[in-house]
Amino acid sequence: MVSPHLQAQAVAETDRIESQAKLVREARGIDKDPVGYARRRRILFTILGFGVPILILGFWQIAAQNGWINAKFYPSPLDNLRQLRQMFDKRDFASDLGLTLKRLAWGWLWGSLSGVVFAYVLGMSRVVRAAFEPTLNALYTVPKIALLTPFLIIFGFKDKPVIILISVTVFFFVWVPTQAGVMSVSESYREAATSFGANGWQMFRHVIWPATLPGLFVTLRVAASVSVLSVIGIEFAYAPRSKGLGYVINTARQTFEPRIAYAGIFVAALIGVIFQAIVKQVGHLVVRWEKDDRGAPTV
Amino acid sequence: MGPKIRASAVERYFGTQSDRVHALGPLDLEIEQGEFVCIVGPSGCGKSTFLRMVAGLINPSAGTVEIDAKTDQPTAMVFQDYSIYPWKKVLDNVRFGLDLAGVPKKEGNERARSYLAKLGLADREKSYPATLSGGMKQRVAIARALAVEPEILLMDEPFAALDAQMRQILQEELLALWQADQRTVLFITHSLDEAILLGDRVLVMSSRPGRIIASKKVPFPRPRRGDVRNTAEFAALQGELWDLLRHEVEAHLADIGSK
Repeated sequence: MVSPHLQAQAVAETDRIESQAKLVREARGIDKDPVGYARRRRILFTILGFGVPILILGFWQIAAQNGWINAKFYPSPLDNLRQLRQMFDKRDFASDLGLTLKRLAWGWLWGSLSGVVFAYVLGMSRVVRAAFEPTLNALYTVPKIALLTPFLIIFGFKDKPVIILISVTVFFFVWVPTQAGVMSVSESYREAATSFGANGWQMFRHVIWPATLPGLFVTLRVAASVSVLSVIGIEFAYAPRSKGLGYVINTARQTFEPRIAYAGIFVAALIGVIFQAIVKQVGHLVVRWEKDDRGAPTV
Repeated sequence: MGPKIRASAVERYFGTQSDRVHALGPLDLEIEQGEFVCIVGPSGCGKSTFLRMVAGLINPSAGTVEIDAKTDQPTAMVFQDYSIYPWKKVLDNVRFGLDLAGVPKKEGNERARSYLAKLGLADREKSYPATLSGGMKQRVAIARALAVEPEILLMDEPFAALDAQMRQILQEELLALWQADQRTVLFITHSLDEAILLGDRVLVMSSRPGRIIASKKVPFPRPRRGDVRNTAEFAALQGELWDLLRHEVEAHLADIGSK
């Protein structure tokens, strides 16, 4: 039981709250002008997204200029940019970049395509799964980079083995999660289609494909970053025609030029960011029924 | 002419040898063309299992379910959890069964629109389901099933997830729609009130393994409306069915308790 004294005190406190600070519920910015609010939030988020890396780079620049860090090992962002410009002017960096982008794009495309096809066929057919899954699982664990040697011997010392090796790497990153997604499509979605007499193709086109599409685009983004990673890694080990971004970074080690390495790393990161953003944007355009990350329907 | 659906000595087991559950049967049952049959019974009595057999989603372990079908795809089902697709707009969801049947898109759209109009959703045809309320989603699911103009409409507790007011409204809509074209309907529910209001006949199933323990004709004439609830006969029938059902629900509870 609450003593009368405490009760009286509580009442008095309530009275004080009411007289001093009334709790008011009323329309705020978001309620009065939801469209304008959404626009201002978008602008704010864009500023934040670009502002944070710019701040970091700015701090790095100041730190390097004032000698807080050793500019020989950590050259300032502006030095890196100057370096990059030199590379384009003097050593035909554009052709390195072009070759890397070409290997990257084909490797990602073939790897993703084959991964997607295998994922849906295996995911939808128990028989095919029983036939191929154990073999694929065994290949999954093979370190892909080790395949470079046989691939070079089989396909010749050209771009082809590099592209195939990227594809093989990307394939597994796409196949595994996509098949898991196919197999976890809700039973009630499948049954609804079965109850209307769907055949295998109709089940795929109306149910399995759209149900797995949001997850597929996440996977394709992962695949994009994996393909950047592999192309650089492979070019470290072997670059056809001695050209490519990975080759440039790797030779900078031998010639002890960290600036070139940094410039190359910066370009590799930029490729990854742009590539991922493109895949994500395509996903937004295709998956129209999902709410976007701001919680609003995209249409 | 024989019955539309005839179940003979139907049984269904679930699980493997060691933990095999006798879910259903033996069950014998005849449902006439154009009859609206409601099935009530305690949880786990296998009433959904029987419905899924008629739909072809599951087969009996023994016995047969014969359907006097004029087409390859005589049934359409309305699920409790709607099971409409979030990636299809309302009109595309309703047209789904027609798409699968290969109906040309133009004709499919016309038919889908006419059923959307009957269910009061004409202005939402371009919406994605994520923007609809539960009652609206279930109307889409009902329109999807009706749009294929099935010989047999199967409904598995279609209104269970809705609030009481929305349930009453949809019950009345279903009554009006059914009275217009009198398809064969198999309707599963937990609600005796709903079963008596909608059905020509109410089947009461026993607790597991589910069998039919009573089959009651509902005496109210058609067309029926929600206000038959207020008659003394309605209350009497409800009381009679509840006595039968209570016994089975208690048996079901005792069964759970003993495990």
